[in-house]
Amino acid sequence: MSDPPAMDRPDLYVVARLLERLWREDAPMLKTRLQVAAKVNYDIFSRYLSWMVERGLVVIENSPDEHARVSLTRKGQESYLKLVQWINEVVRGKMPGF
Amino acid sequence: MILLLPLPSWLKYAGPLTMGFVLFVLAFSLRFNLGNAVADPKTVLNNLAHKLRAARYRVEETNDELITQVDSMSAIRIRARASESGTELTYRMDGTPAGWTVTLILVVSGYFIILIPPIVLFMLRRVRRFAREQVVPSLVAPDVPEVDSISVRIRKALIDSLSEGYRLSSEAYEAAKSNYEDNVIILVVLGFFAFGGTSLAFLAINLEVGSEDFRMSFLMSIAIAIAFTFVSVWLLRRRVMPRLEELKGWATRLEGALVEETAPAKPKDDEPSVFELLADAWKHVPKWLEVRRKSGLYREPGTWLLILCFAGLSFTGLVFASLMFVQSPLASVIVGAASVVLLYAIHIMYNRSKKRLDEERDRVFSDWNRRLGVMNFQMEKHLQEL
Repeated sequence: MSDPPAMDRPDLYVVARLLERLWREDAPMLKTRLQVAAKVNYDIFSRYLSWMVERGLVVIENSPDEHARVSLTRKGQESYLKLVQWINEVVRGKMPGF
Repeated sequence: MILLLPLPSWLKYAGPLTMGFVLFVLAFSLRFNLGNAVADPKTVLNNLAHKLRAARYRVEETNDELITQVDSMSAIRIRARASESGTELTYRMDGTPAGWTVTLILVVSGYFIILIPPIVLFMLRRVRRFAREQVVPSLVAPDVPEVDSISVRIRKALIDSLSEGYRLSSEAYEAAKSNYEDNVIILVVLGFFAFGGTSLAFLAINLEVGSEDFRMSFLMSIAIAIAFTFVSVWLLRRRVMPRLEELKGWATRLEGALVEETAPAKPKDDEPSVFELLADAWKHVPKWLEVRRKSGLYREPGTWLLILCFAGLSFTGLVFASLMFVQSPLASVIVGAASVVLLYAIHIMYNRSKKRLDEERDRVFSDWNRRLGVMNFQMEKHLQEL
């Protein structure tokens, strides 16, 4: 299967949705289940997944049952933490990221 | 008991009223000690706020205070001050907007003013029990772990954000509901005026009291008043309900997400993202703040209590002045002038309150939009730099 075309500008909401869903999971998650959580079609989901793998936010593991599973890396966790902390700073009257 | 004593009548009533007033002032101004904590005031308040939010209390943070709603009537204001051992914590009782509104209604009602002292004592008891059973154990319990656990920090940020979103949306909903109910009361009062007006109009056309025509006109006045009230309340309801439903919807969604975040279970695959919920909610916050601003009675019950008291005194003064004018013109002029001064005072208080709320709204809107803009910029930049 060929690699999906690269993305210029990822949608923040889709990235955050994927990061959050993986953060909530205790173990690596089946790709098909993650796609349901992403709420996008398979092509777009594949592009996002490749984009996130390239940036070290997630890793794809091939399990013995031949179903690909995705898990969040430490960088992915830190990235999601940054997003939610900025959201929290806004509501607490602070300038996010400063 | 005091009413049975052989005292001058003014003393019989002035004594209990003064005691009630003193009790009222003391209950809302006395500060009670909560204890000491070793960290600095900001950290102590921040950790305490998080624990109360995780226990699903509505918490508002200011510079050196936490304001937490205890129940529908009472709130607690917890203050942190730097001390030699770290931080000294004290608290005092406060009322919620609903609590202040009830107090205001009792003051205006006249005889029911005697209910205020027992209500205040009940509120104080609830607040003291909350301090003893919820706040002190939170101070003693270990703080939120500061270890490098990203998961713990993510959950803390989500809970704090959801709790604040829930507080803002539910306060906006309560303010809008209170405003709607105030307007319904005004329309019902106007219905009574409509009844009085139409009755007088029928009398003016010289209907004989007790005649069949008079009875018909009386029934017609009632029908007109009821029709006016029902139609105007229906129109108001039609206009306001969608907004109320929307506000209630936001409060329910944020509260639901907060409940799930404080007791996390295995997530469903198609579960909505909390990040998206919060990012969407933040776009509505300026509207929620505007709803609160428009409910002046809800936001500044103290000012409105004074305005209503002054309005009552002024109205009574003007009625007395007009009745006394023939018998005692000088006294009538003095009472009338005092009533006009009170009316002017109402005008000044109302204008000042409106100006203050408008300025507050402009400042909050500007800050909020600036912070949202910076947040969006930071997030987009973060994605590009990954």
